[in-house]
Amino acid sequence: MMIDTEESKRKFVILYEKYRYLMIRVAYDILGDRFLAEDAVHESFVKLTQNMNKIGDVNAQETKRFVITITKNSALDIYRKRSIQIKREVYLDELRDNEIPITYIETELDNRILDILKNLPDIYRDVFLLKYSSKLDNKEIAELLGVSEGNIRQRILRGKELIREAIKKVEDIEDEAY
Amino acid sequence: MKHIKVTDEWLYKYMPIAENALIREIEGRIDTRWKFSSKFERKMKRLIRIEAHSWIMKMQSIFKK
Repeated sequence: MMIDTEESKRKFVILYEKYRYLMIRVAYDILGDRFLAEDAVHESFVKLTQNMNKIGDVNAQETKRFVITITKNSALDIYRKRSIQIKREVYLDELRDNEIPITYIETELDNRILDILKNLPDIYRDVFLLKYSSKLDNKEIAELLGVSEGNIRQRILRGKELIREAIKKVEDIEDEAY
Repeated sequence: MKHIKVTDEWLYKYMPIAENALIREIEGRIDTRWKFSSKFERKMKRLIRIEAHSWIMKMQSIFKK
């Protein structure tokens, strides 16, 4: 365990108070079950105790990203291990009903392109977020996701191809329109 | 739309924007009225206590030396 100072203990308690609702949302999105989602959140806090050295400012956006990544992985681990039958379709319908329209006011990037990045298949998107947003190297990503570095390199290559293909489709449609 | 080249540089610039949008989506759906089960609360209290205890034990062992 890595909580070895008064500072990290204090930080851990703040993390718990600040992010548990966000974490349960992330876990419930994946598992669709209250109790399994709570297990995932608990497991995530155990993992966070082992990674306190990677957390700087508790309120920073990077911390939020890191917490979400850890939670997502914990939930996916539980999902894989238990091979549970989740009523995902019902849940996704609920999600669509509550969907909040997003505006990307802070970017000049076309929203269609942003949607491509947002909607990459999870196995690629998680790696891309960790590499290009959280700025982890391939080795760190491999350790965090429990896969080999080679696997990470493959996902990056394949993910880039998918993005290029999707962007090309958008560009072709636009070219045809003019 | 300009023809976009998907390079590392481009991804370093735009993936954080995509991630922020994803996080905003999740945050928009946070339910702060979520009632955590008593089992979860107990497990978390135990985790915090164990962590605090391990820190105290470590400090004690340092001071004993």
